Amino acid sequence: MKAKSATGRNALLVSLLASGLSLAMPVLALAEEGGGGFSLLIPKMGEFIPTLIAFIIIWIILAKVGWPMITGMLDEREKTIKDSLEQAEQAKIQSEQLLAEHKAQLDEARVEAAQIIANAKEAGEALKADITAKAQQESADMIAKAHLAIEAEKKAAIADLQSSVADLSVSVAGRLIGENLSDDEHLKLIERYVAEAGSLDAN
Amino acid sequence: MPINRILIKAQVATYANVLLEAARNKGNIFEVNSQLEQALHTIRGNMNLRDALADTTTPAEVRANIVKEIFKDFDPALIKALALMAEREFIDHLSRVCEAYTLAAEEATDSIVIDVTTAVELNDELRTKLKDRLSAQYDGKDIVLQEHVDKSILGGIIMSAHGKLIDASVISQLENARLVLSTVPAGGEA
Repeated sequence: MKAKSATGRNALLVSLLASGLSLAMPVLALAEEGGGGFSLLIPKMGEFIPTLIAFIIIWIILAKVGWPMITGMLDEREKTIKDSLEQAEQAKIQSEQLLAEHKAQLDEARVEAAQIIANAKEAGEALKADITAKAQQESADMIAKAHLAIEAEKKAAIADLQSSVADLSVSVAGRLIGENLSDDEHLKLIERYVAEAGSLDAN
Repeated sequence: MPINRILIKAQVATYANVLLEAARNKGNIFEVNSQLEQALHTIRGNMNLRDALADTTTPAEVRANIVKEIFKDFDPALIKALALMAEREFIDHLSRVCEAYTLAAEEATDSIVIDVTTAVELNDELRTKLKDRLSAQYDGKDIVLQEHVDKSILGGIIMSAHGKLIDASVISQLENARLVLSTVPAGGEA
C-alpha cells in the first residue's frame, strides 16, 4: 500500500512537471514574439489545444509505459535497499548474538582457566608436601638404620672384647690353680666339692 | 626289635657273663671291671688302633694278636675275651659289654660301681668319706670306686654311675665362669 501511494505521488509529480512545461511553452513563444501586456499571459487556443493534446498523449504514454517502469525500478530499488537493511539488521543481530556468545565463552574459558590454575596449584602443593614428607621419612629411616648398625657394631665389639677377657681370665685362673695347688689342697677341694655336690641317685 | 639287635644283645650278655664268672672264680670282679674300662678308653682314644681293629681286611689272627700285645698285663680271661671280640669283629660293641659287665657285677655283689676322676690320687680318708656319702645315696649298698687320675680337670672331682654324672671339676667350673663372663650384658652404659 505504501509503495503504491509512493508510485501515485511520483506520477502526479511527473504530470505536473509535464503540464508546467507545456504551459510555459506558449508564454515563451509569446515572449519571443515580443508582445506586451496581459495578453501575453493568455494562451492562444491554436497553440494551446495541440499542446494540451500533446501533453495528454505524453502523459498517457508516460502513465502507461514510463511510470510503471520507473516505479517498478524504484520499487525494486526500494526493496533491494530494504532487504539490504533487513539483512544488515539481521547480520547486526547475529553479530551481537555471536559477540554475546563469544563473551560468554570467553568468560567461561576464563573461569575454567582460573579453575585449572587453582587445581594445578593445589596439586603442586600436595605433590610438594608429599615429596617433602617422603624425603623426611627416608632421611629418618636412614638415620634409624645407621643408629641400629652402629649399635650392633658396638655390641659385637663389646661381646668380642668380653669374650676375649673371659677367655684370658679363665686361662690365667686355670694355670694358677693347676700350678699352685698342692696335693693336700686338691684333696680339700675334692672333699668340699663332694660335700656340695648333689646325689648321683637323684632322679 | 630286629633279630640282629637281639643277637647282638645276647652276644653282649654272653661276653659279660663269661667274664664275670671267670672274675668271680678269681675274686677280682672289680679289677676286671676296671681293666675293661681301661681297654675301652684305650681303644676309643686311639684312632689308629680303633681303625686297625675295625678293619675287616686285616686277618682276624692279626687283630687278636694286636689286642693280646696291647693288653698283655690285663687279666688272662679278659685278654682272651678281647682277642675273641677282635677276631669276630665284635670290638665295636665293647662299650656295651663293659656296661653289661658293670651291671652284672653290681648285681652279683650287691654293690654300686662309681667312676671317679680327680686331678690327684685320693687318699684313704677321702676315699672312705666318699664311699660313705655315696653309700647313703644308694640305700646303704657297698660302693666300689673306679678311680682315674686326670690332671686336665685341674682339680675337683667327676663322678659317674649308671649313665648319670656329677661334674664338680675345676675345669668345668672355669668353663661355666667363662660362659657367664662372655654372655652377661655389659653394664655401666650412660
